[in-house]
Amino acid sequence: MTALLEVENLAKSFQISRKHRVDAVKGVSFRIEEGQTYGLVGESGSGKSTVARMVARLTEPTSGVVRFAGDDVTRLDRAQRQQYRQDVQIVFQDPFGALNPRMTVEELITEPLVVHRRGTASDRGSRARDLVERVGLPVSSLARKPVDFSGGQRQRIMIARALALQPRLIVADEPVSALDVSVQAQVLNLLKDLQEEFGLSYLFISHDLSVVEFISDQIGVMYLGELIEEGAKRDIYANPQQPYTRSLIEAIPTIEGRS
Amino acid sequence: MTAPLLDIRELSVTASTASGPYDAVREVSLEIPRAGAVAMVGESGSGKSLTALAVAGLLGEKLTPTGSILFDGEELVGMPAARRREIAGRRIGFVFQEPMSSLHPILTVGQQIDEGLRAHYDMTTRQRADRVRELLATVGLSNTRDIVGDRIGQLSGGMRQRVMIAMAISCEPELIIADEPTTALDVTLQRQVIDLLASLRERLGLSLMLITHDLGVVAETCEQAVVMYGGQVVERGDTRTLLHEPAHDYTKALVLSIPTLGDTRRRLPTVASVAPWLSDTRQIPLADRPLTEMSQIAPDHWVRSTTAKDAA
Repeated sequence: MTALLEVENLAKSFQISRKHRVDAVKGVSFRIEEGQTYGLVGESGSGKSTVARMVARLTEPTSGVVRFAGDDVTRLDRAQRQQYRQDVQIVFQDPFGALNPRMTVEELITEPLVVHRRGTASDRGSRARDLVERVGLPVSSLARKPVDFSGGQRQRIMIARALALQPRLIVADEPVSALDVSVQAQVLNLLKDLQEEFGLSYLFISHDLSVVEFISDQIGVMYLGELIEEGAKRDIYANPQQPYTRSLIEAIPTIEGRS
Repeated sequence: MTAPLLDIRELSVTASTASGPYDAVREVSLEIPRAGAVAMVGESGSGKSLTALAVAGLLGEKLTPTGSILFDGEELVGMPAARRREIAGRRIGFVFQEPMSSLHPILTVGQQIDEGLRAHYDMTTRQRADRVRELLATVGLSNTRDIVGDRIGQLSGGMRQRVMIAMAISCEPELIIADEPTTALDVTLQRQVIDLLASLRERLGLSLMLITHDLGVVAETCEQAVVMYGGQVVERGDTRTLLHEPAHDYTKALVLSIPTLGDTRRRLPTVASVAPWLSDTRQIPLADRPLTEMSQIAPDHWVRSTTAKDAA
């Protein structure tokens, strides 16, 4: 079986100055099966967001291969590239910074459809209505602007926008980190429901191990640019192989308190 | 029984807005014992930070406190500004969430820690410099390189938070108010800051008011907790009881909605699924929500009666 996404030996270096180079991502390989969630955890600076950006083709890799449904995405022709940009969507952490404050919700959700010339104006309008309801917002939201919405509602708008082009893979970079816990639960549930309904795959990036465990099938742990451990989530948490993974798990404060 | 260090009685904070005044904090009562630690839990907009700012006297002119805040027996509400600065500056220390925006980008670490010492103590330059190094050692910043002359931009997130804690304890306060001190930090750094706060409490006999939305942090740091929702305290009591046998629907929803390690649930309960009546009240403006009585259900466990039941 071919994986939906296959990342092989992916690396990214940033030349900071003539003498200094930062190897942000070093030789990272993993695969995501269709309909599955791959959780990438690690602390700030571990390179997980850079991996996300390379998968979404927002950052060019220095070396390595990203294959989507078998095709090397760094060697796509124009038409294929257009298709890739529809198949893979990204949801960012900060719903305040990522939505244009001057656009209405309807404009925000239909913008990707306009860019990719999908449907007539009225098709797009009805698609926006479907999507906004699907993510749990009232249809009356469509005429309003991001400023009228809370953080959790904005994240729903961002998810509706990401769904507009019927993607196969959603790259979610810390999508619930800026939300209150009660709202976080709603968004996590929504992501799971959407996955079931549309057969979506997720690359889910977070520094919160409990959240990653809840949403993921497979988990990769990044440290200083390298993927130091990966596996099925049960194995990672029950039997972490790397001392770093163990220390991450042990550091989580729990309701039970420390003994 | 000795009087609590901080005794807040029916504190309300009224915000004046273009559409008229409304109470963003409504009749909050809580106590922090000497050397005790109390957590304030709740979502954004629940009033937990405003309560802390009222204690600090940092509300600003559009927000007016009423009610009573007794600090070591002295009334802070309506206290003259000069006297208040003496208390808030020296006897209460603050740690904020975002060290990058709360610390001065140009002043050195040494200058910033020195600020409080210069304002509140009659010490020589030499004595203050020694004290700054002592404080850096207390928060665990002396065993690497000397950072007295560093600027904030040269430090990591965890180091910045330690600098802020050093500033907060510089004048030997009796109370530390920490507003989401670990929220911006990675889990390993969060662990270090939690452990640091706990050890400072023990070594210096501090009281702690910890504002956080992380119930794991609450369980490990504070003996008592106060849960806020819509500007009101909905439940308070000892932390174990609150987290393991929550009485109010909102606290239940909060506890249930968090994924924990080893969680096998397919879906997470939310406020809407645990307490539909509560999420319905979200549509009602804060000021129009009824303020029901708090009742004591155990020696150290208070809960606000649910409006839905009263209305029925």
